[in-house]
Amino acid sequence: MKIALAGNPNSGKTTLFNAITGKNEYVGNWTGVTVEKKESDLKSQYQIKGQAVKVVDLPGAYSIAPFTGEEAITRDFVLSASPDVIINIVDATNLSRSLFFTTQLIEIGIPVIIALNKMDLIAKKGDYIDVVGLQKSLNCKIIETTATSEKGLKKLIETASEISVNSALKTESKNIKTFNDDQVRQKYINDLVKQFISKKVASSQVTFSDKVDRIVAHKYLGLPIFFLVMWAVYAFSIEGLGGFLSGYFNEVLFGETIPTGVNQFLESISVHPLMQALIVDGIIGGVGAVIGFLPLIMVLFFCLSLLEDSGYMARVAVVMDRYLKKIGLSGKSIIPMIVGSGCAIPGVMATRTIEDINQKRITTILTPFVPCGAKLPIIALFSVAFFPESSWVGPSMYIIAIIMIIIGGLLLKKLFVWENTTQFIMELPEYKIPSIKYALIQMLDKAKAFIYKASTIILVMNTLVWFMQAYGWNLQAVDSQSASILAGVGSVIAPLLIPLGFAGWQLAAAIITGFIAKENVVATFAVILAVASEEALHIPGGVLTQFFTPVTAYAFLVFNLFTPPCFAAIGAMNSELGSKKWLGRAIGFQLGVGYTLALLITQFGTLLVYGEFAKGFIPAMVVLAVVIGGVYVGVKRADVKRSELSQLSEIGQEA
Amino acid sequence: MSTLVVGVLVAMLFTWSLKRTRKDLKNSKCGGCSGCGLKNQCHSVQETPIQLRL
Amino acid sequence: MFLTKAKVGQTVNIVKIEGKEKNQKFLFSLGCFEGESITLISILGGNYIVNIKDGRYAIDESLARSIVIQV
Repeated sequence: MKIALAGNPNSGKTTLFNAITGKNEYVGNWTGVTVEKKESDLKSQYQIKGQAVKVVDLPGAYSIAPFTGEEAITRDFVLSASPDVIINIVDATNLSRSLFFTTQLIEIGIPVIIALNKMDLIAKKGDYIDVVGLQKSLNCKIIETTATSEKGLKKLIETASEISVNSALKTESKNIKTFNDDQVRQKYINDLVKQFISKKVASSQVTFSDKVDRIVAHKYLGLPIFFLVMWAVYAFSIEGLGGFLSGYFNEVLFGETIPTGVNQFLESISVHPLMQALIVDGIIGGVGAVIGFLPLIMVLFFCLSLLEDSGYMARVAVVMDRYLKKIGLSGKSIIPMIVGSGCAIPGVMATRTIEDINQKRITTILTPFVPCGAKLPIIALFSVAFFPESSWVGPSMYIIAIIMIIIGGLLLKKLFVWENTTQFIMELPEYKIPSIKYALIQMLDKAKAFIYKASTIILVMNTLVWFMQAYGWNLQAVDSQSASILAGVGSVIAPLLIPLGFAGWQLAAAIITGFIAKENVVATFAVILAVASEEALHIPGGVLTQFFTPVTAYAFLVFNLFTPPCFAAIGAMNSELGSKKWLGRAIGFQLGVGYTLALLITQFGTLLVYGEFAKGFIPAMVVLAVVIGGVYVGVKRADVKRSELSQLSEIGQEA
Repeated sequence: MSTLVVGVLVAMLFTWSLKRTRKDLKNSKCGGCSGCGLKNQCHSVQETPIQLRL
Repeated sequence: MFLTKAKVGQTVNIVKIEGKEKNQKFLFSLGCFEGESITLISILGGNYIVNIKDGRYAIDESLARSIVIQV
């Protein structure tokens, strides 16, 4: 039996899906969270004896006639995949709107059960819904549910099973109400609402929540408040609790306890020194350097989950709409970027809620600018190693990202030609006290994923990196690292980094491994530099200072922040952009921004702060001139194209 | 002698890790990132993103 | 007159929705169409927060200007 979960956006479909399947799909208190179908089996406590049940979670839709990409998925699925039963999840606090879609679903002919969800809110608000009367009038079973506390779900599944079985026996279709006109449909719905729903407080009343919105999305206060909130999240993760625990992990656990213990053990059983180095420096050193930052990641995702559950995100879209309009986008584009603070891949996928193809593309290109969970170890490491006294460095990365998104967006707008039609409408869900339990689940889930990632791709990469820095091309162990395979590979890229003030094959190697997974940058440094020093990587003034000054360290952070994050993210961009041409533009743009920005910081920063020229000043100026020239030419060409197009459309209009 | 034993253990660890990584890479969506969660939790049905033209 | 000219806190009747058919139909599915009432809750920096049926929505200036109302 196939059950489809359909309903308005933000009605609780995915929460319900998670509850009955035991999965942990992404939930957020704003519209446009689920952008794909998700399929799964039922959790054992909900399974029906003798029936194999598949549940499909669909993206939210306001109607069956699709106006958005998500609505199209629902329509296509319902019409083509023929589920046996449709569970229409309805937000009981907005029954009047939901019924539009409900009546359309019923018309299809597939048995529908209404899950009247968020009943806990109805109780709190003191509203009343005559469920029996409504059920009779619609000729459709209604089950009251509260998905967040799993109330009513068992009954829901049992009823769904009953209905699908009975339906198979019946050959005549039930008395289905059809409407040949949507106007008639709405009138019918209005009558239903009058008859069966009574609200204690009219929704048109200005509420406390509205007053909060007036501050939070205020014309002038809105942006500073948003920055403050994100700053707080990052500060708490990097400098606060997250940083504190990470410090312990890095300094004590992976810095001393484990390596010392393992070293002693391995020596005591007389293992070959190279094997010992592989284990301690390569594997433990590299993977440990990354796992050390686990507390950071956990705290970050905990905070993000609270933020996303509260309903604040939709308000952020309102706040940012003004600024995003200046770069040809709308407030909706900020959502992928906030999702991207966790991981750029779901962030990029979230761009599916943006209908305009060009706005979607621009958002896709800009979303990876936001620091993701994988970049956090790099930010944390460099903050601690070079700026131990300043707590602003870590959180400042997020602010710089937003600023560069605006600037980058302006640049993209100038460089590429497209029509600029922006219409912004966003549903504002009710504020909600974020669920700590849910945030903890998210946090642990991410922790598992992080450890999994460390034990797979990072472990593999580290072992390879260790080999490549210990052995030469002749596959013999080398005395000096600079004769190793890794040094050879790194030296190919290293010259490109000179204008950025980054010298040494080690940096090039770290950057290269970073494309596979950003955490590798930290891990690779740990492996390469373990040879040079016994101390843990992140001691202020430690081994990293041989390669960076604080200025170039900051430039390095910026470089990693803006260049394309990892191959997986590039893959996600590829599937969302839909064309190789745009993928090339995206990667080129991101590389360009990261490179140029790092260059500017190194060269002008070094001049300003130290009053001297940084390494590679002359080549840097040459590169800068080329970049400025290229951008200028690109903009001019786009201008020409734009005026050509407007002339054509004028001619077209006259004709 | 002990080096050999340890070496074998390390090689086993490495192979196990490599196998899991290759399995991830094969799933083109995740591309080896594993960043969004353990693979057995990824239930989205692969779908070409729908762009609507009205 | 357009929704943009309504007073904050005021509930008004919708006369018609102008603009692209796509927008008209989308707003219709939310319950925003001729004959229904819409309340202007707040005006925040170029965006209008409105109440349609039982939902709150933020709409921008250009969309607000496509909603013709009657006090």
